[in-house]
Amino acid sequence: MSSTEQSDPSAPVGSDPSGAGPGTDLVADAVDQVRRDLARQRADGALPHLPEGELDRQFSAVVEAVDAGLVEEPPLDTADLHGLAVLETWRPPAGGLKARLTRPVVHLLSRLVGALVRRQVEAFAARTAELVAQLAQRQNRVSTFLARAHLDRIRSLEYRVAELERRIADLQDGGR
Amino acid sequence: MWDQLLVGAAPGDAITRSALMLRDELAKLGPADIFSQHIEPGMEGLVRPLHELPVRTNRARPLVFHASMGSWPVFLALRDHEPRLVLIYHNFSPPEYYVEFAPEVAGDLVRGRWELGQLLDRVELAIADSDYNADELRALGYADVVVVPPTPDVDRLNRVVPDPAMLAAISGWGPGPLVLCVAQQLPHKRIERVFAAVAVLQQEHLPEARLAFVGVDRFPTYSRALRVMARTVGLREPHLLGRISDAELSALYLRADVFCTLSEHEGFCVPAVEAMATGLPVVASARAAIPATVADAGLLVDDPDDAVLVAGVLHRVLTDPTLRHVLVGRGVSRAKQLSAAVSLPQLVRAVVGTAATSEAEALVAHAGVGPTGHGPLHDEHRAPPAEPS
Repeated sequence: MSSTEQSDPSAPVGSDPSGAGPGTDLVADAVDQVRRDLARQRADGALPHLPEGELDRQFSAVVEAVDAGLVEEPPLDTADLHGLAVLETWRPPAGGLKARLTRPVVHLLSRLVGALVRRQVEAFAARTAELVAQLAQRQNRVSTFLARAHLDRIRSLEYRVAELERRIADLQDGGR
Repeated sequence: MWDQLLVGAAPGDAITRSALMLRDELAKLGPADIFSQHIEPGMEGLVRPLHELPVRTNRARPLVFHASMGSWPVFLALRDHEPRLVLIYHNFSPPEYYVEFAPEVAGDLVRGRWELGQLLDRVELAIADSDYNADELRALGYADVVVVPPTPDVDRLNRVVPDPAMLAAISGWGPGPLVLCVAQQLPHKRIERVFAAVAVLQQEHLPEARLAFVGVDRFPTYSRALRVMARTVGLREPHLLGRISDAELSALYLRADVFCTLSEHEGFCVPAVEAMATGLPVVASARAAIPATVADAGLLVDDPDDAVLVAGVLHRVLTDPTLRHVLVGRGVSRAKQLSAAVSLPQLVRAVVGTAATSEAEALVAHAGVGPTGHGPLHDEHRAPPAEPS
């Protein structure tokens, strides 16, 4: 058994229903066509030229920011913050003669007190929830801004380092 | 009669699956066990722990060692207890990608190559599962390397009923085309390239396009960075799925419109083959062994860092029905060529042939004719006849 057992990548596999003639291959030509289109758009100024290694720099900046704990946290979610505090009505334990006798009275009293407390704290609880939501929104905006600014800063620094490295290499080549 | 050794055994892992398929075939000849240092949940009962290796019952036969990563305990076990080995080399990931995220893994990968060099004299047969991997083995000093393609069970997902819940979930993701990427969350897979490319695809070509990414989380920092990267490149509504069942994966392959992998290093790339087998066009990076695996059945991008270029290629595949038709046809054909139905018998013959050859040599030596040689066997002695592909 030898390495030649694997099929030759240059050999066509299957039929080509496009009817492309010999010497042309729809699949092989597809990437080249896209590349030519992009080159034309870049030459026309319709698309910017991406600096070499841009994706690496961006991801490296992200990793650094994650390591620093700056962008790891997801935005705060206040969806489950209720305007009104939900207090469950206290219920006496079941069982026993004493519990059976006092249960209806105590339960009624508990519900009455609960209703009064809820009425008293409703405005306060609603305002608190509103403020917490506003704070969370502000915090999310600030966090997003800082994270983006930090990432851009690291990326631009890394780009500058790469530029300087290129210049050093050019100077070294020129000195030889 | 034949035992195998893995460094790690995990459900869904391609190498583990390959070892299990080989075990099933070898078991037809006699008892066959698989040993592993790391055994993930779900593999208990199928794989025996490494500490049981010294008392394995098939000690008369060489041990089939699947090398995919360095491991000091595995190396010591081999050095101290296994004088004869059949090496199946599945490739070591490039250590440089791991220095930042998991230095200990980078160390294992560097040491793994050294360990393979140390084991050279014990290896009676060296098998690589691609030409690319064979070249790496040769660089480590292995003179005679047999290439046997991997044994992916390419029809595995075609035999599974797609998960109805996942199908319903995908329908809820919207009407746009679905780009699918399947890869473990490992740094050398360069998943951030896929995120950037799909973000450009959404921004420049197809706003409704969606990305589904399936990959087990391996290194927390890398996984967190990926999620942040998805936000910073402006990727809209990515569906980042961790470990999922075969039925769920089958649903994704069924509903996806294109498969994309932009990995920097692959010894073979099983997910691309599974995608081709399920009739999904493949867009992939022209890196490492991927071109040899995909051949002309997929679109290969030689500059996967150029997100604009990859987005343009994805757009072309998604909007050109003739190109899709050709890719699907070639992909299915290519997957059949690479299926275990073709390669597994080759692998079994290669492994079993080793014993036949070495036992014949032992008989000859015992008869006083004299040894025919030491160390690695020559190609003409070890290689079973080639299967036409």
